[in-house]
Amino acid sequence: MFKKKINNNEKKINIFKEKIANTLDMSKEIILGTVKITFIGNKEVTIENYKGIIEYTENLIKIRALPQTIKLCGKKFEIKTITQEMFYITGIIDSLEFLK
Amino acid sequence: MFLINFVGYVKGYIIASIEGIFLERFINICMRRRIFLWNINKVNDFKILAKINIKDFKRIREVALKTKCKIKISKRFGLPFLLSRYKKRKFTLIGFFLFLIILWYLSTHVTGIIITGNEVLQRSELIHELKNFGISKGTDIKKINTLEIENKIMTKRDDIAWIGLNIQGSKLYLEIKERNEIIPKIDENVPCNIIATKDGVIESFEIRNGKQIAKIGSAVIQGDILVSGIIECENSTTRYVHSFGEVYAKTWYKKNDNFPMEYLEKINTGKITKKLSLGTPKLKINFYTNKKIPYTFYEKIEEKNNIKLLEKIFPNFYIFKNTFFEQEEVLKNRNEQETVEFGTKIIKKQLKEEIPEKAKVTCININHKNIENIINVEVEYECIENIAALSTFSIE
Repeated sequence: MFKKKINNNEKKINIFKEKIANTLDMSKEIILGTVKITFIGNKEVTIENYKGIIEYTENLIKIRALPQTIKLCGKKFEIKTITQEMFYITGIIDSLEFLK
Repeated sequence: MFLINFVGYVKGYIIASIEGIFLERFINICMRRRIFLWNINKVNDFKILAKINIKDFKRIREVALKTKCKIKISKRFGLPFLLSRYKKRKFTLIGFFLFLIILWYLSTHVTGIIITGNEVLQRSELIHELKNFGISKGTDIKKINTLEIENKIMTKRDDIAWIGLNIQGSKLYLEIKERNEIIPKIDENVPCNIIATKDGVIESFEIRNGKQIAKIGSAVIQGDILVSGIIECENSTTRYVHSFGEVYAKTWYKKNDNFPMEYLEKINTGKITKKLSLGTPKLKINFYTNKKIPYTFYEKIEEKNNIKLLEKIFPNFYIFKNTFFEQEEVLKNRNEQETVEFGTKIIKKQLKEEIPEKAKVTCININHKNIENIINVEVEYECIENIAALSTFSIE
C-alpha cells in the first residue's frame, strides 16, 4: 500500500515536470532525469545522464539508467570515453533494449 | 578524440591492464571519483585494457584495492616518459640548448656581407668602412639603422655616388654605385710630355697646354713624344709645363686567317643527356663515367650553381649541371664568296674585342686569296682614336 502511494506521487510529479518542460521548451532529460541516447549510424552511441555500468563484455553492455536499464547487443564494443555525464561506445550495434 | 589523445600525450598516459572479477564495479567507481579512463577494451572475461593519465594512476591503486583488482602497466606513452629518458643523457640536452642558442644567434645577427656594384673600390676597403660605423659580422640586426649609415657613408666618401643598405634575413646587402670620374694619375703641377700609345698617322691635335712636336700627317711609333712639356724661349729661360690634351691618329687593326672551302659542320640531333658533378672548377667529382654518354660526337655545356648554404664556407664549391647535346658531323662544300663572308664574320668578331670602345671606325678593307681551295681572308680596320698618354720627365 505504502509503496504504491509513493509510486503514484512520483508519477504525478513526473507528469507535472514533463508539462513544465514542454511549455518552457527546456531539455527534458535534465528535468526528468532520464537518459538521452544518441546514435551515429550503427557504429557509435553516446549515452548521457546515466547511472552506471552493470555489465560490460565485447558483445554486450548493460547500463543502469533512470526509467529502465539499457541493454546493448553487438560486436567489438569499445568504451572510448567514460565520464559521469557521458558514456561513449564504438562498435557494431545490433540492438538496443529497455529491460523491465 | 584527437584532442584527448594530444592532451594525453603531452601530459603522459599509460595503458594499464586491469585483471579482476568485478571490472564493471571498478569502472563505475573510477567514473564516480572522476578518474578519467578512455579506450577501454575487453580482452577476456577477467581482463581489460584502459588508458589512464599519469596523475590519475596513483588514485587508481586505491580503487583497485577496494575492488580486488590487479593492475599492471603494459605500455607508457607521452612526453614525461620521453623526457625522463633524456634526463640521463645530459649531452643531448646540452646539444639541444646549444642548437637553440646557435639558431637564435644566426637569425638575429649579421652572418654575411654581400657587396655588389664595386668596380674600382676593393671589397676589404668597404668592409673596413662599414666596421668604422659599427657593422661587421656578428652585430645585432635590430641595432642597425640602415638609413643613418647610408647617409654617413655618403657624406664621408666622395667616390661613392649612391649607396643602398638592405638587410634580408641575416645577410647584409650593400649595393654601390661608383662615381665614374677619371682621376688624373699625374698631379697637375708636375711637368710632363704627351707620348703616343700606339703606332699611327696623326690626324689632329687638341692641345690645351704644351708645345707641339709631331706634325699632322706624320707617322709615329709607340712611345714617340707628340707634345713636349719643355717650352724654350729665346728671350727668357725655359719653362716646364704640365702638357695635356688629345691627339687623334689613324690606326690600323689587321688580322688574317685561313678558311677551307670544304668543312665539317656539326649539327645537333636533338638528343640530350644530363649529368651532375660536384666540386671546385679545378677538381671535379663526376657522378658519371664517360662510358655512360652514348654519343660519339657531342657538345658539353656546363652550368655551375652555388650551393646556397655552403656559399660562405666553401665559396669555390659548385654543383655542375652538365648537358650533353648529341651532334653529327656532316661534310659540306661552299663557294668562294660564302667562305669569305664566313671568314670575315669570324675575324670581325675577334677584331672588335681588340679595338677600344672610343675609337671611331672610318674604313673596313677585306681582301682574300684563293690558294688550293683554302681561302686566306684578311680584314683591316681603319680607326681614328686618341693616342695621347702622359709621361713625366726629369728636369736636368
